[in-house]
Amino acid sequence: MTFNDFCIVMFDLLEREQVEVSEVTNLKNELDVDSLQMVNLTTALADHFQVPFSLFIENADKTGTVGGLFNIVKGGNSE
Amino acid sequence: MNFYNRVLANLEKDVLSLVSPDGYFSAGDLRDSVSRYESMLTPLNIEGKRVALLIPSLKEFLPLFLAANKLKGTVSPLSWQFRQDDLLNVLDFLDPHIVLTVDEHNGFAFSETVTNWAKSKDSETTVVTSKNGVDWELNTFKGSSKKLQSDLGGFITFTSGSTGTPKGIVFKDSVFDYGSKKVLEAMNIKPADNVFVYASPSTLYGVVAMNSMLKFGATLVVSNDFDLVKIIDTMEKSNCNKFTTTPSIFKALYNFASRLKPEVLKKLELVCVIGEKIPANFKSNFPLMKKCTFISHYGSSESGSLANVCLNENSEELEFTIANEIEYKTVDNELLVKTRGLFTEYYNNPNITSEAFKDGWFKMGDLVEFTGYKTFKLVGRKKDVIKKGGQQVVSSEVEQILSSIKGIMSVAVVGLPHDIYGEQVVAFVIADGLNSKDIRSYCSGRVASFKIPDQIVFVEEFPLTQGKVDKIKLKSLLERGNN
Repeated sequence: MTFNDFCIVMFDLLEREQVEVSEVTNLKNELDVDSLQMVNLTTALADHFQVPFSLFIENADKTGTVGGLFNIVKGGNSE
Repeated sequence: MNFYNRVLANLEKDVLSLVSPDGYFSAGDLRDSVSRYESMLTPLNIEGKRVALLIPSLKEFLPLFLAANKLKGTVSPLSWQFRQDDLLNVLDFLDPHIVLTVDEHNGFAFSETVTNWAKSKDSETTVVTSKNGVDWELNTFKGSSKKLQSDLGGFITFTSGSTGTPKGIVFKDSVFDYGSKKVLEAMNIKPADNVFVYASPSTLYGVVAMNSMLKFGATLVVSNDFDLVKIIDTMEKSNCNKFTTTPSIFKALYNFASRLKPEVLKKLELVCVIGEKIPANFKSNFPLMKKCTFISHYGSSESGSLANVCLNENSEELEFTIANEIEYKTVDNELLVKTRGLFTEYYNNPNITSEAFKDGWFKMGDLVEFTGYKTFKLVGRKKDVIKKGGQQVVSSEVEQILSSIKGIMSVAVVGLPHDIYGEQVVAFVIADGLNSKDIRSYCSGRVASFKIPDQIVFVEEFPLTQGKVDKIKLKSLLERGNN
């Protein structure tokens, strides 16, 4: 899975039109994803990519950026 | 009788009244906090003054609310979801004599914004700030005296604010008795209950539900933030057995807790969801909670709770039962009510107050169909309000915000059904040289995040009907596209 593939799924789960992002794009400040959307995004990512949800909790400090989420999902997939 | 005497005065000193992520607090602890705040506020002679509160820590907010009310100030709990434009517009409109605010919350500098606002005014305002919500620093910005309004009494909540005239809803203290009775009856509250209330204290429901639990001697369980890990931990440590919040928040909580600590969900005996359109089969989303009773209230920010419904897994339609003591009728299918729980007026706006009533009846703005004596179904809405995630978003307010962006020629905002949030905010935009990120960036920091459109659809022209944008056609275009 490439970063681009991940972004397509992420915007789809957010029900947002896709915009250009990088790994350091901040979900809250730059994409205006609010706390409730963030919660629903992480649970939806866990279900979609079939990675343990606990990874998002253990790596809560990394969930602020698109790249952080991508790395959590990638890490979960490689386990 | 003031809130303090209604809520805290008669509780046993050692009864456990409040559990928050900060700890456990008895009724005696809360009374001590009220006394401390009374001592702080007494020199400010707050009788007849408007006192705005921006205090996210509920263990401080609740005693402050009670102390300011006891000293006969009119308390206005402001939403800490407000950002620059919402906050300034509401402050300009309310023009409080006193603002108590934390320095910062969720990355927004509340005290700096409030202080700059107070400095820019010609009238006298006292700003009381705190870094931690416990120690306070007082600054009075000199100017002409503001008029006292002892006749207002009670408290004022705000439903919108970033553009035009904000809507301040004024309540007398006496609405608490009515609202409290309705909440306690609907949730079948007992003193042994540990009830999590996750509702904004800047709303009528938040004020009434939180204070009702304290008053009845049950344990009120709260969280200062939308931090689900902390909320789940607090549910566990408080042995929480009842929960009230919005449907979207509860769904998110369930998603988290079912993965982290499903046992906290299994302990819940009753869940009361409010503030959003609820699918009839809402309960079917929670397979771990088969034994739990799910209910919902019907009401509004002005009326409080009017009717209840029990949510069953296989319900196809929701049929609300209107509570006793409420007078009701319909005019052209719109529900009109008279109750002891109604607001008094919209603050400083006699025109919209008189528009809201017809011959003393409050117009709910919802179209209903009565199916029996006291039972009705909701069939539509007359007011242009989107109910998203428990928050009310006024379409025209979002339209005004977006219209001020350079490059946007025209905009129409509608609410569309959403599985999680009840409704979502969709902006149809005719624009030149802008993308959705530009639009969201403009809104960010200016208005509360729940007002920022969830979907932005660029169109070349709007369908019109009788010279106005045909919003029904716009909605159907997108609904068709989604199916």
